[in-house]
Amino acid sequence: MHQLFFNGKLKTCVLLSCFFLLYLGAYAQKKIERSGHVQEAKGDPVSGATIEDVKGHVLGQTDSKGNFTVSVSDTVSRIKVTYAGYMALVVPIGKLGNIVLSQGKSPMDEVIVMGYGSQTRKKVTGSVAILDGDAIKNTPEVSFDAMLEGRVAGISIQSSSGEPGAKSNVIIRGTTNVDYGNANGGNTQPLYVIDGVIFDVNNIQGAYALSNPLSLINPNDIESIEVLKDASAAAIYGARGGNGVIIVKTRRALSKRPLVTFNTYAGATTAPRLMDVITGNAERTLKMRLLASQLGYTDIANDGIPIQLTDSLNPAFNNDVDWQSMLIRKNALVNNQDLSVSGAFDNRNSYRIGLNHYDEQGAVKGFGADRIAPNFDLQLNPAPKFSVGFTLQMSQEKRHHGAGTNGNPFSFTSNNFPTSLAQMSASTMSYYNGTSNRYDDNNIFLYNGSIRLTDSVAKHLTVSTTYSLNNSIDKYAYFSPVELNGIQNEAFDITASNPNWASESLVTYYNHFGDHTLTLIGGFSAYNAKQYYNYSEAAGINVSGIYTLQTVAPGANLTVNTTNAFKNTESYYGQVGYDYKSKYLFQALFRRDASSIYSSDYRWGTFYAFSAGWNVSDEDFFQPLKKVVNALKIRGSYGVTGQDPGSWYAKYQQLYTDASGYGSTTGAVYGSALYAYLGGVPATYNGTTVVSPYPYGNNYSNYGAQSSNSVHWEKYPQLDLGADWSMFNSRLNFVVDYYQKDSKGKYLWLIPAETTTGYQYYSGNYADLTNRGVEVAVNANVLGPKSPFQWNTSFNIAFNKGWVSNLPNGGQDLLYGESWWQKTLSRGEPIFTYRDYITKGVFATDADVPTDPITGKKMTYFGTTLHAGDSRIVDQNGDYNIDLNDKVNTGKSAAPKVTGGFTNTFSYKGFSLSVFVNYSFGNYLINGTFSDALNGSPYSSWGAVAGPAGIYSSSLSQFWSQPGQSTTYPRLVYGTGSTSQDPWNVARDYFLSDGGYIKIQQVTVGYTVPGKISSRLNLRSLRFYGSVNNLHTFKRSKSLVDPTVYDYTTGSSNTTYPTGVKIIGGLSVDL
Amino acid sequence: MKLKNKYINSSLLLVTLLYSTACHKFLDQNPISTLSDQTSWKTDADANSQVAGCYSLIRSAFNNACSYYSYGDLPTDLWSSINTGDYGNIYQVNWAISIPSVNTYDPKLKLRLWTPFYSSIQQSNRCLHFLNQMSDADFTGSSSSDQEARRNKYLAEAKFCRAFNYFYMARVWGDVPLDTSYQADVSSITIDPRVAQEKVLQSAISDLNWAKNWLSYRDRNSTDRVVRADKGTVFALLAHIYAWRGSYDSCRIACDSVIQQGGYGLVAGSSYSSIYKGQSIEGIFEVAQNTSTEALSAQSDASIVRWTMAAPYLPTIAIPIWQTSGNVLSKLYSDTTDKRYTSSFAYVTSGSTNYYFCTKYSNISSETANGVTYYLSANNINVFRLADIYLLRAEANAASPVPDYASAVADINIVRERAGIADLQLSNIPGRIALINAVTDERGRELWLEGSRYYDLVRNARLTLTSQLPYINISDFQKGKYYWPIDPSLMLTNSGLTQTPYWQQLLEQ
Repeated sequence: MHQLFFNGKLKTCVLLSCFFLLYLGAYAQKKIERSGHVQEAKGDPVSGATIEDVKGHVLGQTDSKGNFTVSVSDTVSRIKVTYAGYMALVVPIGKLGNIVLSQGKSPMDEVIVMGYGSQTRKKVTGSVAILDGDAIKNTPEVSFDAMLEGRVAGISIQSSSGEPGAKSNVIIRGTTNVDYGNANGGNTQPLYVIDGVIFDVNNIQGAYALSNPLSLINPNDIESIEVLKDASAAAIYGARGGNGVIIVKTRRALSKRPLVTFNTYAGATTAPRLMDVITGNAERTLKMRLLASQLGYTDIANDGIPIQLTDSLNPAFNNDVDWQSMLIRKNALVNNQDLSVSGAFDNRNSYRIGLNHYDEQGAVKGFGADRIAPNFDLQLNPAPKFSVGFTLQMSQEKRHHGAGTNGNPFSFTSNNFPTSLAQMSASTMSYYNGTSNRYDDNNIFLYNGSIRLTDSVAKHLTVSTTYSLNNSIDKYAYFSPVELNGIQNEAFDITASNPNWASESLVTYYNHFGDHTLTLIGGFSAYNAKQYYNYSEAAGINVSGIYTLQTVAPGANLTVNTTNAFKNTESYYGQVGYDYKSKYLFQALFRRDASSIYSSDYRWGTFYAFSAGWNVSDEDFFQPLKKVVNALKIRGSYGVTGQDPGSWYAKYQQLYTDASGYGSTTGAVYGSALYAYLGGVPATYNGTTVVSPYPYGNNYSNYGAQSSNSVHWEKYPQLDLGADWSMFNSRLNFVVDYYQKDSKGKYLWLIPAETTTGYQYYSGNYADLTNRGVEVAVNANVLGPKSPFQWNTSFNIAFNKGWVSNLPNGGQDLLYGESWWQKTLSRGEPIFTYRDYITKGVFATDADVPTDPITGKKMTYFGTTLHAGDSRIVDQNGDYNIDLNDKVNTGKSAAPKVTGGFTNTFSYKGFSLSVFVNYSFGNYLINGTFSDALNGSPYSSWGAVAGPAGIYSSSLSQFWSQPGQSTTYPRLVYGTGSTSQDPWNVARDYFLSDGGYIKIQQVTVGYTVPGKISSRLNLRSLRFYGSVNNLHTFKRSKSLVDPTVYDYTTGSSNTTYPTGVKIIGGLSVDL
Repeated sequence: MKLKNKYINSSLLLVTLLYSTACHKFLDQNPISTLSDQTSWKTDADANSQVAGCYSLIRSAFNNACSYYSYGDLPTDLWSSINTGDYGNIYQVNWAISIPSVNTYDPKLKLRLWTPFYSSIQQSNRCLHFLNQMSDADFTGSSSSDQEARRNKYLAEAKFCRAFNYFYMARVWGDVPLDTSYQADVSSITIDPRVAQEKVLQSAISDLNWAKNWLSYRDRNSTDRVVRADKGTVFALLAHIYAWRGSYDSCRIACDSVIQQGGYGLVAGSSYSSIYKGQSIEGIFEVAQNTSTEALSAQSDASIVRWTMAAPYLPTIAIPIWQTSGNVLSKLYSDTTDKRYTSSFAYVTSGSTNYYFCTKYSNISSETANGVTYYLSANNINVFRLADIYLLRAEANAASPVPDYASAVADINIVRERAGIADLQLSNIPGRIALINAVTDERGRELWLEGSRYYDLVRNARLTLTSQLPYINISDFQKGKYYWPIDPSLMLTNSGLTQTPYWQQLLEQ
């Protein structure tokens, strides 16, 4: 009640301020007027072009007819005209008549949105990368975040699935996520600001594991994406800037004349990247050969070999079914349509209405994403100096998840794939491939809207206020038939809803005194995030035609849980910008944030940044060099941004009603056909609900973690030194940055506690990290502007080295995860390095197994004597027994050290060709595919679930098969009586593979029909294009199927959902 | 116009400033779907749930590696063989085998860890702290003294649980760290040394002496009878603590209180099995897990059923894993008409061999899904019951340097008569040692597989200087082999710990 009341009160505050703004009137000023007209090469007027003096003071804008009138003092001799997407032009005041802008841009004139204002690149002192929306337009992906990889220096994108629209992990300047598996809420993604609206994906919870709220935004609507990388750029977002900030601007009306644009493409995903599989007779022969060579006589004589393999005449045992192609579409279709209408009317009022439809079939049968996204933007100027903006993006996405649930595309795990040798009925097959009648309904509905009011209340003084609202409502309901799960018919119904609102009010003062320019900004913002989550599940639906939770009586078979969570933040900020002749630039930022996450003593955090720049090329002494280096700026910044822990209630000691001891159950059957068990978590002791901070009595203790009363803001001090320079009349441009980003007081919530405290863990701000790196971006127009053939090449590369600089408990290593893929936080090492057994090949013969000089016994593995063909695991502690104490920190992690991209665009007349390549190096991945496949085919279960033998066919020679062989991998087959050494456990270094790759991501060709022809068709323009995406990946490791797709918690590359080559063709029409 | 603007501007600034003051509570967001200390401890029901947590954590500790029976029965003469390496080593008192701390599935490791007992102790400490922060009005009761009594009843239960855990740990490990206060911040705790057992037991006794003032004797109408502490339970625990310390005079007095005032009675010899389902008239303290929503999966390795029984009781297992010793069985139950023998044992053909099953915990139900049947075991863990206290009093009378033969035999005979066997004749008992052994044997018959045998044999060895423990000879016994080692991994987070003396040479970090 309390909270509702105060929320209500805050809303009233916001409305009140809007109300005041509406009454603000105009402010008159004196004018010495100069007029002119701006148009583009084809003759269309350019509306909204900015008129500045050469010092960068904005004088005015062109109206819808391209006309402008500005007031200038007598001393001004030249003015500058800028417009997004066009080269800026400096015009003598006497020649204002008809100004013709040409397309293209000089990097120094790019207009960059900096928090609550915008600046030209020349005046920017922070590290900001900008990506033109056209660069990623018509990429056949659901979601724009997936398109950023390699486009911008210093941003790395990890994806964990080839499923259309699956969420990705976006990392700016090195990962700082110490929350293993995001088990405590994560909060790892950058802050997205879409058209000025905070769209914090960290606060948006989905109903489906890979649900991605960004996939609701139509990528083709994006005009530009800016990545704010350093503290001075991000600090204006203060506490939320720690992971970097990504600013997305959607398209606006370009001209007064109504413009109707229609754009469509269609294509298909083909050739998914799969494992090499040998099936049918070839598989049988291969397996027989292995068994014959490696099994003892008794095994063979006693029918140890599955009948499927020995009965070569039975056609049922000779199935030639490639399970991969059975489950995967040969050609998955994708199509996209965009329709937009935009224009302007009197007094710079403008509108844009767009509608997008995107439909993609998944490469795996039964998968897909289908989006309809209308959006609307309106800019109104009801009175001079007073403007109102309204933007609303709406989107609905229907997704299908085939037979699988929560990220796994199949109804089975990779170690119980059906084998090609097993007879499968058509009906079983239809369940497996998701084509049978199964209820699978996942709908995400998004709205993201804002109202902006801006009033120039006085000369130099602008007040603006924004209220924004968004929600991503994800509803996922599905039915899992007994045929698939092996236990009971089950229905699930999950809803996640995440309404957010934010309010911003700020005052901007802008003035120049002679050569001095001063900008002052002060503001306030409030933000509220809510998470509503409902999960329900019913088992034992025994009536036909019911696919939801109906008919199941309350009790052990009906599970419901509901979580509602709230987070509020409140912030004040101020910014001072100063420059002298645009030559010496200085900026300071200060921001105070308070968050409801913290107790009142720790609630407020102070964040700040200073930055300075020097346009060296404007100096007199530089003039001799200017013919070569036409622009050079040196800049530097230092500042502190911040971050919340993922948990919204970190300060509260969490209690549980979990009364389960080890082995306790509520008597309900859980699990799958393969592994069913009595489950359910008792919540009572003799019927009384139990409450304690010690949940889940597991093997020997609980998972209780003590909360920290003093949990506080994580702080990210960051230094950035950079230079921007342009050569040969801006034909060759460089941006170089060096940074060091520290993360101080990272919140750890699983620090081992002393055991008599009753807790297994405690939590608090205890870890420090450092990321240090260099980023280089180069852009070149190889041939001069006069050449009819154009070649633009742009290249970026980022080197990042990240390590853990401090840990609690005197710096002891912290271990995470299950023993088979444990990872380590270790001082001086990258975060989450793999903890593995180190092997040195295999024991070629029994004699090679070392003997303990004291006991005279051969070396053992968990007490079992090692033999020829077993892995030679390094005995780290010298006790002649290999056990988990012999695992070591490998120092290798899944975080890449080098990332980047390379784009070449060629154009001649209407034709264009663009090739985009991205790459990533320096990380290591677990070859989960290989390990799982091998684990899925132990000798004992060959037959019914014999795994995909073909997977190791290419590396068959590397397995030990007879005494004397020195191989990488141990023996494949263990006969009866010999104990398996668990050789395919992923925690062995031979499953650790170099994750480096270079990927030909996109090749695009386009043809724009000459204006003469298109105007004959009554079209403004007509363009045809086609692209091939995900064309080819050059891998460092041959054995990894696809190093671009991996689980970012475990680092396991286990391509259950493959990516494929996407080919599309399309056309774009402007009316 | 200008004036108006000024006015509006200042209003706007004012509104902006108002945000911070008017909307101050905006930043206070209590969780509403998550339980927390800060938002809990408001009502009697909250207090009750937290106190119930103390007991449920004892339950967790006892189900961990089937530890109630693994500590109390496994390293004794009840078995002929243990068909699993891990538990076989526990049976044979090979307690020092090195195990990586990450092998959390290994019972040898689990049983060397005291962690689950400390979770229960800290739950008691938390209850004692937070219950005292609550106001009287939060508790049920028509007057403030009723409410105060209610608070004290919860405090008494928390203290009972704490005392029980310390007593149990002292029997297992000897000296253990002693923590009796709530710890608001555990991050700085890195040293917590073991404290002399005597001090630990004294602390338990003082908790119980406080608790007995605020609990009443058995309320037969309470649904929580037996499974939560009442005054009789407190005396039963005191009796056991005194017996373990060798303070048999105090033990006898405590037993008298239980027997005379506790409100308990022996169940009829014809219905022994009702004792093991739980909450019989005889039960004094049991750990509740006999309802379908709290039961153990009989197939889980937490369940005694999984280890000691097989088909037809538990069809998923063909041959019992812990095999009952027929020799000891026939030695103890030389009178085969003993109702304890006839009602609690079965001789079953499994595979091609016959095995003795102890059927005390055979209240097994099944759940069937998709043609596969799963089994639930619904038996409370019997910790103290009246027959146990009669025999403890007999032990007290026998253990005295000048034994009270008549009283001891009388108590033994109460138990024997119920079992339908002939009285023990005073004339057949040649001396003190024989009397002590007679008590121990009777306890063996009465409390077979009730988590008591190991400690009975330890007390017996202390009194008789002869070890009946199959894998601890008297010389090792006197060196303290019967106290468990602690797992070296406990020392990783607690630099103040030392290894149990006997095991120091055998299990170093």
